[in-house]
Amino acid sequence: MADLVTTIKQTLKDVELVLGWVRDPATGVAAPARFHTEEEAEAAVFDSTCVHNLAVHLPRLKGRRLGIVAKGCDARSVVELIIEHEAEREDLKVIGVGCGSILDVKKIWRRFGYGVEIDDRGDSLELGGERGPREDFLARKCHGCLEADPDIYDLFVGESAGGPAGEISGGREEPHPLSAMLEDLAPAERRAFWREQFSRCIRCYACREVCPMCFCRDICIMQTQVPHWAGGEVNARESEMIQHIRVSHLAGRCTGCGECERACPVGIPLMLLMDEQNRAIEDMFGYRAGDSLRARPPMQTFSIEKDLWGDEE
Amino acid sequence: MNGETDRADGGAVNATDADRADLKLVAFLCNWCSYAGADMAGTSRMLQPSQVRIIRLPCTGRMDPLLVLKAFQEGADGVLVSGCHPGDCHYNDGNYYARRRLELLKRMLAVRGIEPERFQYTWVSASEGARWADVVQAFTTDIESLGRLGATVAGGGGG
Amino acid sequence: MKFIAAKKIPDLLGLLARDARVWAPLVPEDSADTLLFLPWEPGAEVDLERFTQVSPKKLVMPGSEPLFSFSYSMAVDCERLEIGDARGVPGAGGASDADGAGEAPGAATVLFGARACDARSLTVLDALFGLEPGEAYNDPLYRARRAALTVVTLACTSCDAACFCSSWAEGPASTEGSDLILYPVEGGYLARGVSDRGEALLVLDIWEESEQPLPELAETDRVPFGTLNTKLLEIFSDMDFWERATERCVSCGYCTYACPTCYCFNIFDEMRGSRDGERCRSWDACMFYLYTLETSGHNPRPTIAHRYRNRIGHKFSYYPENQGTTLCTGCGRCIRGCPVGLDIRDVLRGAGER
Repeated sequence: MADLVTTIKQTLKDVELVLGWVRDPATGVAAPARFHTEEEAEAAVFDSTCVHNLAVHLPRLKGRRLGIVAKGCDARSVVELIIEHEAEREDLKVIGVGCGSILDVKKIWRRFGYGVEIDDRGDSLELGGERGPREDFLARKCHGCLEADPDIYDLFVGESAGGPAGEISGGREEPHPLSAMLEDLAPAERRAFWREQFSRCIRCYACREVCPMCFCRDICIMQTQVPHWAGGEVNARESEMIQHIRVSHLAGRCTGCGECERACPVGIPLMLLMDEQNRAIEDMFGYRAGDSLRARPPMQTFSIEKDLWGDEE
Repeated sequence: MNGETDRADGGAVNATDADRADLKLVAFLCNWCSYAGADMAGTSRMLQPSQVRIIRLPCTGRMDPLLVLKAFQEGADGVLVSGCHPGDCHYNDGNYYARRRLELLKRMLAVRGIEPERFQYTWVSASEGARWADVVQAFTTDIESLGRLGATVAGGGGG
Repeated sequence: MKFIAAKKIPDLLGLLARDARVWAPLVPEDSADTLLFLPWEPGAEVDLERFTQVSPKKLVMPGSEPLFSFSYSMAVDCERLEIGDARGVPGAGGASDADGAGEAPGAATVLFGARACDARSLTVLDALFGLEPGEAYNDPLYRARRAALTVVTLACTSCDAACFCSSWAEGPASTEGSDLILYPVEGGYLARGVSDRGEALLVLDIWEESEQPLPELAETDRVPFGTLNTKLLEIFSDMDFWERATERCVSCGYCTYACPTCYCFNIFDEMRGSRDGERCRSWDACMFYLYTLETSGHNPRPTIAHRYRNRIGHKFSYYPENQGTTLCTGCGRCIRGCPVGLDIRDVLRGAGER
């Protein structure tokens, strides 16, 4: 990763700190880090375990000059944050990295035990001595990858993937693994399905905190007493409400990075909701969050002529 | 307004059908058009279903999708939003923003398992008392055929 | 020693379920990579290999619970407030009622497949909420749930890189909080009663006799606590340390909610309409900004670093100082499940070297 280290060092001459990854010595996988000095930057890595979306840190660091190492999907969040004025383009040095798809490390750990050695051979995986098909352990978001190379960057490291992450991606069209199941359910069965899923929620708000676009951060109406949109009880009814508050507020903002579903400790398929909404938004407005810095978020505008649905006269 | 509407149409509901009478329907109406339209329907002695609770909005642009989610959570069996016809917004473009939000919400409610008929939005002007009576009756009939959202409902259950 | 074949575990669960609700490590439907303590039903396959993502503390301290109900009414010249029993929210739970709130305190419950760290954590909570009436702290709801709980522990013959219960004297061999312990051996499990309640289970007509010796238990990572409690006080104002240590933290509540010993709660009123309401208690997490936000708008722990410092200090310094025990049993859940890979041991070791 000499190239990456050099690039970060070079960027540090111009910025206060760089958001990137280091290797956790205990597990051998990447963990988010901040590089403040050239010496610290020596530890920078990028590999297929860099699953986190580091753009989540940008709103809290707004106003400071930053570098950020970004995969294609992460850069979409950076774009969307700039559109929402949660980050300033001129304060950012985006270090784009060519991404050949990444692994769902948590899934691997949950199956094979935390800290199991992950040997990524590119076409297959060796996990604690067992060889398995790599595709089974790809991060879910890679299946819907829109572009492996960042759309915006100031410096680029590694090999360009030139489009979506190879043959594994079906783009936005690639459905969530549970979407066919949901499709087949009658309305009452859908309600029961979601009720069952949300009955597991412990309201840790990890979905919110790892989401780059949940930038209200510390004061979120999911938790406020006034206004009182959601009750404080931990049950399926309130948990479903808070998640739909999130879904609603992320309309036209969600870039589909999948962090919410990845972070959920109890395995609620949150991206099933987000994917459905993203698809609806693309269908209705032709808008995909993160596509362009000049785009107008769809819920902040309207079209007199085109917005005709249902029983228009 | 709400209570008056209820009394004005006392005979609209088959009182022997307890299930129908138990339905909870919420209508969010724009102050400048549909609310006045409903008023006109009332003063014109048009029949209106008594299960509908009307909530007045300054404009459908005020229509936060969370209001609909909350209504369902609190036990509503159907939610109707009605505002000014496109082009007629008192504030020029409130209903245009609302139209996007409400259509998206409708699609997302379907993902949750709330039938599209349970959430409807429409446009009724202040002079369209008769249209309001038709709209609200058709809406109520839709929900009556679906029945209560039920105790296993995505949002409801409290009631 | 008593022995049960692995294939007869469902029969054992069936026997336990005759008189009690049994919670065991189960895979929720449609989520193959999740393992949680969920209510067991005949046919459900328990997973006694992997670790659960959330501790079983909700069995004694539900995610939320109603304390009492209240109702306002108008009297002739004043408003009258009546206090009633807790009602709970009808129909609020899921089909599996996995939030646990549907269970009235005091209903017989078996926790099956807890690990030694989980069982020991119950004794930590006992000291806090009080087991006996008349103790300084005495929480009747906790006491009712705890008194009705039987803990069947699964001894750990293997561990993963996140486990660190060997940091405490007995480690995986601890029997604290357990009633019955199952030791994995060839073909099944040896059973050892460590309380009267556990011994009573050994009379069930399901056990065989076995001559197999007890297996060797796992040896986990160790965190050297030493004088860490005073060290943490020394570096309290060293914000540089805390900021660097928490740079990757995003301030979610997973670590506290998954933790078997984190016990912080919030109390609030939920109105049902304008006159009736319930006073409820729910989990709360010191990692949330709102946890310490004061009415004035001042927040004494405004940043993630402040909040994480409190989490560490409380667990490993202030609480041990007051109660003589760390608020941690080394289960490793906060490490395994952290969305950003923050390892509490790294912070503790870093503090020790500071």
